[in-house]
Amino acid sequence: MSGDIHNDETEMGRAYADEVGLPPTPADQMWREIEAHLPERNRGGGAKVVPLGRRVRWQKVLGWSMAAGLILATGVALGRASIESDGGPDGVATPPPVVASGPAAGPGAQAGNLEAYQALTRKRVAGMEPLLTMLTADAQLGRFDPEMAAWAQRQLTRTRLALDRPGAEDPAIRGLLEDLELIFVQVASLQRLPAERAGQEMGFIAAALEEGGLLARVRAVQVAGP
Amino acid sequence: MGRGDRALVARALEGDQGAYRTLYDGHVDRVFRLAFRMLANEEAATEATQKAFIRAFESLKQFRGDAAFSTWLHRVAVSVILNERRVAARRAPRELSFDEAVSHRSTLPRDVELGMGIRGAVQDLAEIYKTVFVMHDVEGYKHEEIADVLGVAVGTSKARLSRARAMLRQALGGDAQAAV
Repeated sequence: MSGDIHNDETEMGRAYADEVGLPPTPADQMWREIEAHLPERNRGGGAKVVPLGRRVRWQKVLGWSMAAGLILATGVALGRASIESDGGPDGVATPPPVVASGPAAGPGAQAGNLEAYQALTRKRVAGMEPLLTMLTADAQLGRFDPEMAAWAQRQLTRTRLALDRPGAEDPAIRGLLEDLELIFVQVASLQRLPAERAGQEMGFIAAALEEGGLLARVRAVQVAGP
Repeated sequence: MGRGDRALVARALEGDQGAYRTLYDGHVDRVFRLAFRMLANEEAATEATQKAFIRAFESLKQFRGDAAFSTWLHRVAVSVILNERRVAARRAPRELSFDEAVSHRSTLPRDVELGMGIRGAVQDLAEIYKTVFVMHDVEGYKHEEIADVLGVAVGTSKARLSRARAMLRQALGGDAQAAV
């Protein structure tokens, strides 16, 4: 019986191998493409080609600088809005001062509050774009930067807070926040993995980013404005 | 081979392009075979193999030598291949679905029937089972090597293979045994 099973298993592997017959390896054709991406060239003093990885690293440095500035500006603006309204702690979903004092606070004021929540949520989402761009570039190259995990952890907290607030009632924004939440969970969890494995996992995150069209959707929020 | 690969990696990191080519020549056939068996499409396999080597060479500094270069390269390759498979699955349906294959089997010789059925059945396996089945039963990798590449225990690799075979037997509805 066990012999039959073994034969069956061998046969299944062989049948699949026969069915998916191998073509010759196009080694030279593939090498031409690979050679163009080699990190360093050493051809007897020929011109050095700036490797793709190095270009991305430079873009990354510029991206970090721009993103840091943007986050600072967004943080200050949100912080001010928070202090001016009711001093709420998170600075994300606390609305700016929509004045509705005394008995005059009716449906109009509530609608104003909702709009303010939505505007702040959109602003928060739009503020993620530069770093999300970097994350996408890293993910496509299978690279993982531990700083990115810390950033994702912060964004995860803020995204979850935003999801619990009225600003997330817009179905498009809510769907986007939920998709972003999943990505941030994945990225934040990578810090527990060895660097090599984390880099490989970034490949899967790249697929998820592409599949969800996340960057395009975040940019659309940015374009739409408050 | 392992020590030779490490020396080649060191030379490549110093900018020796010949070392890259030697590393490539030493491993390209096995990576391409795996990609082709997994993707069942020459163009997709070519694309995946290129991407795997490009990513591996760009990340060569991350190769610390605690595993064989071949194992490390295969980790990268499997990641790329699985991504390619997901992208391909989103863009277009398979050329021949399992149901289509089954519906056309009755007029075919039994060995052809088994081949057509098993192609669809393997393609329908979940990634974790398909990867182990193709690596072990089709390409002859050892469980220890599969476990290293996939970052799982040897027992997990064996369990997945056992499950993959059981699912294939079920999908083939006993044709596999009848054909042996």
